[in-house]
Amino acid sequence: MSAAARRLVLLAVLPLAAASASCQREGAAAPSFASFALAEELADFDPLEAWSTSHQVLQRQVYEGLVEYRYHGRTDEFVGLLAERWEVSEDGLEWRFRLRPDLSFYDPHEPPLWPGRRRPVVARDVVDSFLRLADPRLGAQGWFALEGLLEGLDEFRERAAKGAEEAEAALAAARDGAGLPGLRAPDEATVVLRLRRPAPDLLMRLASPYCVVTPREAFAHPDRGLRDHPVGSGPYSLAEWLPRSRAVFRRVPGWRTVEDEHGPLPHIDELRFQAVLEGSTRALLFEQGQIDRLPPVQDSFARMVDGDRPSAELRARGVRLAVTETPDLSMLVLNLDDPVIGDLPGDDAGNQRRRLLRRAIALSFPYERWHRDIRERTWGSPATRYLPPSVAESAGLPESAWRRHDPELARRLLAEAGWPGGDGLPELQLELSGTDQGTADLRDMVVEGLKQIGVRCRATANSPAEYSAKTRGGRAQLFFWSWALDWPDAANLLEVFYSGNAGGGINRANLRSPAFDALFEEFRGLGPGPRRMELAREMVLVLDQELPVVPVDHRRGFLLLQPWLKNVEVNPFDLFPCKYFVVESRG
Amino acid sequence: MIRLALARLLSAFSLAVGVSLLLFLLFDSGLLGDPALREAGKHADADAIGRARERLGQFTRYQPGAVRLELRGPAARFTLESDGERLLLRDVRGAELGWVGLEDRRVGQLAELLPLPPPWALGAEAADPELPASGLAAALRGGRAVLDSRGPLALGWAEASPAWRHFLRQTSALLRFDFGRTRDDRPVAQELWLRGRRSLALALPAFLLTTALALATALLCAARGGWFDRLLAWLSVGAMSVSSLVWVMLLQRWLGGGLAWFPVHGWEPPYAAYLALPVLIWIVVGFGPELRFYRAAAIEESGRPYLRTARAKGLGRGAALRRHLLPNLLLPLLTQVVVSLPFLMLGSLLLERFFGIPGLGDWTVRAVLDNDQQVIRATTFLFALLYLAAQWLTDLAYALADPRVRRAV
Repeated sequence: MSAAARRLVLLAVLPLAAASASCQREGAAAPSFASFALAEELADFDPLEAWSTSHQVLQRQVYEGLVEYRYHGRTDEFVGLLAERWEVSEDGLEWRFRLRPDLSFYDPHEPPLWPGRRRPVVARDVVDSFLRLADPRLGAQGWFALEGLLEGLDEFRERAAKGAEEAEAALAAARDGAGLPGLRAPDEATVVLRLRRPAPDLLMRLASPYCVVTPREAFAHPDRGLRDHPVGSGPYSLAEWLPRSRAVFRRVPGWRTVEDEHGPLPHIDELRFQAVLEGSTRALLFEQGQIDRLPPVQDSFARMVDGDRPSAELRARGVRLAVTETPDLSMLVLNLDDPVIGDLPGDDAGNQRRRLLRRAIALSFPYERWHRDIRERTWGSPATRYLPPSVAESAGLPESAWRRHDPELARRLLAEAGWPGGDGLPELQLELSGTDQGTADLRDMVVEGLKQIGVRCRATANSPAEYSAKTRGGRAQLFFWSWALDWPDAANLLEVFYSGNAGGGINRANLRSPAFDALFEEFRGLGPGPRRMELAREMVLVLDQELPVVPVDHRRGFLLLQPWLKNVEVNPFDLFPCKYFVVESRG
Repeated sequence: MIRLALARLLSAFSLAVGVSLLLFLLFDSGLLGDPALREAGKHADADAIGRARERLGQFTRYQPGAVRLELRGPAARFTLESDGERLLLRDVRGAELGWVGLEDRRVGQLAELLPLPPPWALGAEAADPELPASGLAAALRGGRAVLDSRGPLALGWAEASPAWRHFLRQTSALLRFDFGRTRDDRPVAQELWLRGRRSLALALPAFLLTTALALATALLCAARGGWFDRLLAWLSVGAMSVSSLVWVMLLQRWLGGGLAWFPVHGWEPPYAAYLALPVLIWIVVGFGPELRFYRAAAIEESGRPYLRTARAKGLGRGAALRRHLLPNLLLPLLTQVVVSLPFLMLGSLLLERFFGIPGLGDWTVRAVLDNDQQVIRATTFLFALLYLAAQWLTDLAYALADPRVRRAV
């Protein structure tokens, strides 16, 4: 080897040696920290945009709402967070929340908003935060959490949409004096919410990541805003922030005294989050003990999970596995606006025939093959009912009569509808998103299933953009769609079939059933009880009669936890409440 | 020379306008998706999407619920579609009942304009009847509204931003290097600068080391020939036969995971620690093709008479390579190096993604997936300019390196 070549090799090796040394220095672990990897880029801190997992996970550490899900409790149990207690009027329309006396916002940024970095949280902050959520100029995705709920708030939104001057006037009127009839702060510690209709799911809405409380000084600050400078009343504050990549939170000094069975909250001093986009890298970090929890994805799943427990190697290290049921519904949608399979006003005889056709379509689908090929018998559990098991009413509902593979019955129904063996029936149209293997399998399942009963079907592969435009715009006949619940209330799923949401909204099947609407309107105003259950059953019967969708399955998730991460409760509606987590001696 | 410089400037300008036009057509065609749908969220209805279009600048003004229509008569359904200027009415089975021109008409006249067959009629209630009716078609463009006897229909109204004005505004902004803000409201220029530096921190040392190593090895191959040359050729082909993805995953798992010599993922001081393994992988992946390129050039040159003459004059092998062969390898070297420069700025998508380096590569791909138009526009434009600059540099370097080119210019 020549001298020049030797020099080159040396140049290549030197930085590696230096890197190795610094890597070892990096390995020195600090006590009381937890480290997490998210599979998506880290989102920012504006609660108006709290739609992604990443938004919700990060913001949960800093911001607080009036209430939160009870830790270790059922998903429909709530405890006060900012609120110390609350009272509800007899008619269920007025909710009076009393704030805790020891609340304060903490600002870790320079220069701080207040001397000493703190100021108390007062009832007006709740009013300001909810008005911000409703302000149409800001386009909050979480507006649905309060839409149509509080007296005067929708009117405020409509007025504020009329231009900048009107918006400022509406805001001033809502903040000053008596405020809106449905959103008031009569004193510093009391918030009064007056509802337009009874809403038993109010606490679920208030516990959602959209209804958190932030100080006006922070979100209206001309140079800062909340995006990169979160200021909240939560147990942690942002200490380091590399947008989209890395966030470190530290315990807020002198945070209020709250205790659980493990001692004062929060139990961990520092939380480290990083975006790790590749599943194989996340798995490697978990195996090295550098991250504390891991939802294993397909490339690492077979290696790390053995049935319903961790692999033998991980078990030997004390790693635990939690199986989580995703509160959602994957469904085959049958567009009722479609003239071939839909429900046409004024054509009762034709509608009866098309209803039979929809049932035949449902009976032709090979659900077991879907479970085997698409979910690999792992990633989903069959949905025999319209509601996921995590919703209280689910267990008491009848199973769908048409969600089974029965080609023989499908053929009989088709003949009864006047299309024996599919004769005279136009070719059906299935819309698909993408062209990957899973989509191709799905196409084969539907097309072959329908062919078995004599129905021709043509599948069209669409770009995600085209697919979205077609399915939203009512131009797709048959397609697959999933709906994830925002909170564990049956109404949050059943509203997908409400006619007010048809024609471009979330009612993609365009069911317009006055019978269903009447039941739903009563249902959403009722708390748990026999009448609510009865209404749910009746709604499901309407759905099974009209068949706007066929329930296919609910997705499942798996979560591996390091032995040192304790007291972790998996609640799909409350992601990463890290103040409750405990870290014992790290491996 | 001045004429040449002016011609180059003119070509840069036309390139910029061309890129802007291409991007405009790409986005306007909706091929990458409708950013308003994501902006509006999963609970969005037609009004929420209209408001999102207003915020994104697609509409200069949007008014939800501008007119409320009620279908009167027996149970029925009609649908309305729009081409942006006219409305198309269809019956329940999708048959066309006719196009309705809205030019010079007012929102308050809509009920009379729609050609509903008897016995159906429309009840209409407009918030501002004097608004131009064309705004209804603008708001509905590409969508569909359903007039159903079971419930009223509220139509929104919009003033769409004309395409030519949109294009001019975008092109003029690009030419002023005003790249706007990302979807999550960060200045694109600032992100480009930050992320570009991180990508370069990975790509530049990796590229220089790969080039130097490949060039030195190629010279050795040319000088020694025989088994050494064959072995290196065989090794480089072997390395090239393995997909770069496999190299990345294998070396990350082995050197970062098994042996734990390097951190597996992250970006914090000391950055060199996090860059070492990706740089090493870049060298492993890039060495084979580079070596093949330089080796072919070196072997071709080493057979030339001038080199034999130099050796015959008594010059040692090393000196002959250094003084005669190396200068003659400059042209292929310059071609390879300069043309690669713009790609360095974009970094390596795979390496950035696997090792968590927040650079330009993954950012750009993410922007395409998220339909973040400002980011795609800025990176495409910048890449085009860098490519043009690299071509100038190549021409200039050729002229400097080769007297024959200089004389021709």
